[in-house]
Amino acid sequence: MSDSHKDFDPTDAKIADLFAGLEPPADLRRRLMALTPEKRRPIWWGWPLACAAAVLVVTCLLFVPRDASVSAAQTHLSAFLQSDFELTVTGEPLARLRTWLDTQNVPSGADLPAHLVGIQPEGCRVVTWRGRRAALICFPTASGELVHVVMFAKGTFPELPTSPQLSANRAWNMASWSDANADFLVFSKVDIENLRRFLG
Amino acid sequence: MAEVPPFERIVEAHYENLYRFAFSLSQNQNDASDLVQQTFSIYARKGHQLREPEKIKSWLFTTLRREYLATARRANRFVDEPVDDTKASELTEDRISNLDIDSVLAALGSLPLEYREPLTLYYLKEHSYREIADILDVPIGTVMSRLSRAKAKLRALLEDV
Repeated sequence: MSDSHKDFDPTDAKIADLFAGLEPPADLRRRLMALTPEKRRPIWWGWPLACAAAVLVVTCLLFVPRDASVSAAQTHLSAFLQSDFELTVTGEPLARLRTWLDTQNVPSGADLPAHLVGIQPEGCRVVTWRGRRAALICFPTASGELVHVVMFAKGTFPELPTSPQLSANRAWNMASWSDANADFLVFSKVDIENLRRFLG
Repeated sequence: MAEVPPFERIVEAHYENLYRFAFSLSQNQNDASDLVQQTFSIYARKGHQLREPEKIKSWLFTTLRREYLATARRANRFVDEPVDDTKASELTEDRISNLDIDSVLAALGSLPLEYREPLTLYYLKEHSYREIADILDVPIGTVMSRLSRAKAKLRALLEDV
């Protein structure tokens, strides 16, 4: 049993036991064993192709300038937010989180969108991107999805507009803008229209 | 790199829990069996492309779920179910000991899919929160909040049975 089940109580244990007793039909195993798996075919050109790809990647890493744009930061943070990350401060009201973020010398969200200010946040932490430290505050939504607000120091992304600009990648709906105190990058799984409402 | 186990051993290791997950999704023994068979048929065709044995379990559950969603979408089985915030309640010892699989499956079946999926995977006891998040393609925080609400709703339903 994994660590994720440490909080099992008697009801959970009973339900899990009942599930474990749910037996598949007798003939299912036989039907599955009758399937014939395809074998992996050796690819004669596999190694030369892999070597050529490796040379190309190394060349790109060495000679192509690194993109310092908003989209590069969004790509990095998209992957981070998909990971099993932890929040440093949780269960505290927004005012407390902002006090803590101030002590970390990162933007504390003085001008967060009014709609978000009214929500009890899940928590916050400091994140870094290419050596730049930023604040991350996560807000829950009624649908169970989170709205992640990342705040960099003002001027980190000079190209940002002054009002939220919405966009999307494969994993996230996003918004980005800059105000007098900070540069904002926002990520969420809520749909674009709902995200717009959160930022309104 | 670890060796990928033979097909028969993979079937043996996972088909029962895949069936339980499929039953919870489809609420039907025949559909559940078909989903498991379809999942292993896909694995038989494409499984040789998987290089990391430790990802096989998640791949199988993800594939089964995708097949279920595709089938349900074609059959137009999805209904927008209202989601309210039920308060968590504790079942009495008597109620817990009298629970049976039929009442649990019936209560699960009346939950929206977004609750039923993580709850079933959780009760199979072999997936971490991280693995459940990967299978359902949602962040781990979403899994935890859905699980918390789903448990409360399931208990409320089981109290009423």
